[in-house]
Amino acid sequence: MTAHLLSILIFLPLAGAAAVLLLPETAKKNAYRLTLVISVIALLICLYLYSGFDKEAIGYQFLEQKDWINLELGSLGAIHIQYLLGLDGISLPMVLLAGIVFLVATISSHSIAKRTKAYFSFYLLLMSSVFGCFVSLDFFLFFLFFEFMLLPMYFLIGIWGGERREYAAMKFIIYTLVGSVFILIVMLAMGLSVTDNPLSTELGKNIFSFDFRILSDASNYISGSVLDAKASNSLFGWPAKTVLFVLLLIGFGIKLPTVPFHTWLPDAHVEAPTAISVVLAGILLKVGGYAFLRIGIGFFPTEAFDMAYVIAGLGVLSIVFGAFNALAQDDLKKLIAYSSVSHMGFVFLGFAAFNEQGINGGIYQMFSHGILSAMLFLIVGVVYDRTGNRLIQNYRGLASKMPLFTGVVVIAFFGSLGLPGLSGFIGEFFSLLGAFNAPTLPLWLPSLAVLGIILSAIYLLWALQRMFFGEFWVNRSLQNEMTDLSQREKIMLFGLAVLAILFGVWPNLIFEVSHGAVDTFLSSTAK
Amino acid sequence: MPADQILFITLGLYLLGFSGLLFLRRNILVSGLSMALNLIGLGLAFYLIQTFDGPIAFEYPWVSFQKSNFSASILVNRLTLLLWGLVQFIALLVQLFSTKYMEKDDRYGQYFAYLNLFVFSMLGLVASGNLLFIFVFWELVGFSSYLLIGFWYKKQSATNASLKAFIINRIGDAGFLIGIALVYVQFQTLELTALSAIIYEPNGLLTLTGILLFAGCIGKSAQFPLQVWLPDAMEGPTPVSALIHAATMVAAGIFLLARVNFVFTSDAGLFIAAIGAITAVLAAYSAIFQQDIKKVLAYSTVSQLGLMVMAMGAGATHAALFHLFTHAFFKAGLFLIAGAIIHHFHHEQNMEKMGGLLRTKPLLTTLFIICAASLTGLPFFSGFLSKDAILISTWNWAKGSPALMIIPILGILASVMTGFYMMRAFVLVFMPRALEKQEKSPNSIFEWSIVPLALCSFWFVFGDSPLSFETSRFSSYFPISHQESHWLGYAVLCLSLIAIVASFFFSKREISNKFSEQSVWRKFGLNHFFIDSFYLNRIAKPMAGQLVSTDNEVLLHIKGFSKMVHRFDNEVIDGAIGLLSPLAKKTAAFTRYLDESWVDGTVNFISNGVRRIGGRLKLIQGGKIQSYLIALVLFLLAIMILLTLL
Repeated sequence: MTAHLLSILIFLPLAGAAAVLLLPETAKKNAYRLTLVISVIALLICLYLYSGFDKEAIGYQFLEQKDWINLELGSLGAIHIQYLLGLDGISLPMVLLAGIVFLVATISSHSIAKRTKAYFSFYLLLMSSVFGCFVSLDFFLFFLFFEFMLLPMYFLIGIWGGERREYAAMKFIIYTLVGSVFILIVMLAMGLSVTDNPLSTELGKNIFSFDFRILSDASNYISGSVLDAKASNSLFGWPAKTVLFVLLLIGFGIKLPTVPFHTWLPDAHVEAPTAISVVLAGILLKVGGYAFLRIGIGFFPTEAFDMAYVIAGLGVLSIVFGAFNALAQDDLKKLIAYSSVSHMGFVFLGFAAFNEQGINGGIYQMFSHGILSAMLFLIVGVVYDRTGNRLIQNYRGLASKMPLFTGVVVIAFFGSLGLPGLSGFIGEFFSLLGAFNAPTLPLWLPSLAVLGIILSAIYLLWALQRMFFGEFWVNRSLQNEMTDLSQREKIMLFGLAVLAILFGVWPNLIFEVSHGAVDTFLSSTAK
Repeated sequence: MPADQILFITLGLYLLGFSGLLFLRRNILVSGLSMALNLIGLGLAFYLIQTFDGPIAFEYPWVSFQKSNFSASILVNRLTLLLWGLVQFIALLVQLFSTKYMEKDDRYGQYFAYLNLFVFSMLGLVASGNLLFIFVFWELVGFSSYLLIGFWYKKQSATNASLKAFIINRIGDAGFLIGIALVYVQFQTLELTALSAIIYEPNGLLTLTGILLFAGCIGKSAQFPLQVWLPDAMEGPTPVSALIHAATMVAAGIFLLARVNFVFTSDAGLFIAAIGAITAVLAAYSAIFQQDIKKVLAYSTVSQLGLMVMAMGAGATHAALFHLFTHAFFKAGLFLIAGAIIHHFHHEQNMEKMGGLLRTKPLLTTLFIICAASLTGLPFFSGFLSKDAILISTWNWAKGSPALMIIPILGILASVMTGFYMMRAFVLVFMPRALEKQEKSPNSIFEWSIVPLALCSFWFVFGDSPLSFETSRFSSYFPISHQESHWLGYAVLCLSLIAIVASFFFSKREISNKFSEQSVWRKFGLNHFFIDSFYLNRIAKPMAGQLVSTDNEVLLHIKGFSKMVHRFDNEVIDGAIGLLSPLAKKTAAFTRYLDESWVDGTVNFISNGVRRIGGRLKLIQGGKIQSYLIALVLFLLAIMILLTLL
């Protein structure tokens, strides 16, 4: 059974999604319970994968490989698509994060009352697709899961969301689909430009493959094809490989999100229900970062290296622009949404450094941001559940009535602004250090990013001070039931707080998993 | 017991104190436990100092990559031990004082918990052996300060002050972080032992690195232009002000400068000394005009820190450390005295409303005189030794360059003003006034916790000679080389005495008739040259708009730069995306038009044509036999004609 853990991780929620639909309407509370059980099992599998991971080994572990689609093209060859799953040090932290975030979001979904079965069915489908994205090693399979994430999100936001949910859902799905089209173009171009060398010589004809391991090895590129560095293919005057890389940059940049492709995020986050915001910020954004690292930089290292300053520039732009926008918000949820944009900028900055501190830092930033933003959106949910209003100026002095809540908020906010001792600092510090230490980047670029650290302190602590300190007051037009945390909220928030502190004082928990893979990654992409 | 074990046990004790005391309720339990931990820590510190015989460094793996790694390292040398003992000693006295000062507060447990967190962070800071961990604990110290300044969070001014302190410190920390990164870029290591062994070549980048590392000190030690947070930090409980904002946290900046002084080029040193001197003078001038007793002491602290920074910049590291050490005792003492005074006058902090303590609280008066005399730098007190060390060293550094001499002259000016404002404080608070009679109140824990601090403000703790700092006991551990120009010390002393006497008369006049409020000198001093309102009105408000307004009711407008950025995001970036929607609709409408009128139109055209032709053709089938016959005949004729022609 351990040989098929990754498949179980994908298909268990899928089966659950079908099972939930088959439940009778009278027993719809069981939909929640079933989803909770599946989430716990998924997290346990993730923890088992983490503990069973061999930190010294090179290459992918827990491999599962099956031939899937074989398309004969006559004399041109054959297209060979596999069902290929595997984990390495870069995807393992993401899988672990997914397990944590999905469990927390499930607990937070407890209060969904309308169309409960449909909700949990979509939710489990989403869970399945996200796990599939992180573990698939075949580009076609990856793309399948990548697209499949969008559909449940569209419904989850569009049906169970806030006032402008239809607009937000539509914007989200169309914007992300445009990005997916770019990725599709690249996928086709790549798949038809590589040949599976051992298999090809054996069978005597071209076998086109989408296997990640084959795509990342330049000796597999067919000469004269789009990917061949020596051929002078060009598109509109630009070298073809550069165009492909830019398409990937835009496609995954929409998901990350990076400024200027980020405008779907504030709307999607604000309108989504609390649990879906947690999933969106906690793990969905990371798919963009992970895929950009694996596919964008992994398969186009030369172009990525040449354009390192562009990537870093986009990162710094996200950091500063996102922070200034957050400063201007009245709505707490929108403030946190923009702070997500700002913090994900560090990921691009770290990746663009092309050194071990930067890339490890970027991966850690994704992991830590997942935990902290889950906390932040749950915090907004706590306020929203009590009064239905998220405007910062409607609250004052909440610390007097909700001391436990204030303690958790202090941890989440200070973690988010990068206080050492909490996980946010590690990601930001190493991304910045890598960026400063990078040979390709001018020193003023990461210096601007440090400006983002000041700004994040300003907007977060202003919100903290404004809402939690001072004399207690809530706007008269709101219902005034400001009770402290419920049992369920305590479990979620305290659990995440413990994780934030744990990963702040013991960063090697993630680094010893990722640094081997990052080193392999860097040496294979070295010029 | 090996040194690192002692360090870890001590750190662990305070961390335990923080987490444990957070939730305790019974006052006796809280203070007893907290002070017990402190005593154990202090005991261990003495043991460590006794058994110290040379610098020790430890490294523990923390983060490891393939090619580089970052360890959690400890460096224990004389500098470490100096602060290790100092922090815990003053913390103990402050805790003792707080047991009475905070006894009625219902968050007593949280208060002591935060104090323990602070001591933990501060000790971690002084023991850290690399720049990364110095930064880590540096930020944690700032966090503890945030919690303690805003301790009475229901008071709006207190939470504003804590926010301001943290943000201003953050600005300094940002510079510090860039400096750390630059160190790594140039030398590929952050370990202090490795960095101190490098021979540095002065160049522009190295100077910039030094200045950026100093930026952290500008923030933490309240130097110009980031000094505005310290006077506001007086919103916190007075024992907190004594511990953090007089003796220890603000000294962290000076400590940092001493820790990394091998990095500073002479240009960087010049910059540092200049900033220190400017800060010292501006703050000393403002201290003269303050009404609130804590604000006088706050500005005084800024000024003294400026003097220490100036000495650091001038290369007189040990002189600055000497002053840091002596200043910790008498300043903490002065703050605790202020706390006792405020408590006595039922939480009144305005000196105008005080007076007469000379009669009613003689012990307190004596303690004040001792500490104030030390601060002013009178002989037979510790302050004389350390201040002389600073001024004389800086004077000798600047000698030979007229432009450079401004710096020590500013320092001298600040020292002379010290005497002026301390005498003013004495007159306003202690001299009898023709007002109400006050009863004597018994001496309490307040006074007894101050006595050790006052005792340490005499000269005999530091050396045998009350007049010479080179032979002091301090100098045997932190050598201060023999300096010339000792005449300067006596000259400054004379000027200070003149200032003190002048202040006596000025202040008595101030009591009897209010000076003109309109005086420009007074306005600039009271408002500290309007630096604060400049930041508030010209920087903070335009950038963030309603950020600084704290009205309760709903605010509708956020003006300012951040709102402009948001409008750009909403209307331009999102607007561009939004344009795609009507664009798509128009394209769709156009396509529909094309399809309906052109494509479909062609189809319809063909079918119409067929119908019309058919319509014409069907007319042949008229049904009239005559027309068929005529047609038949005409057709046959036509064929015959054609046949004959061909």
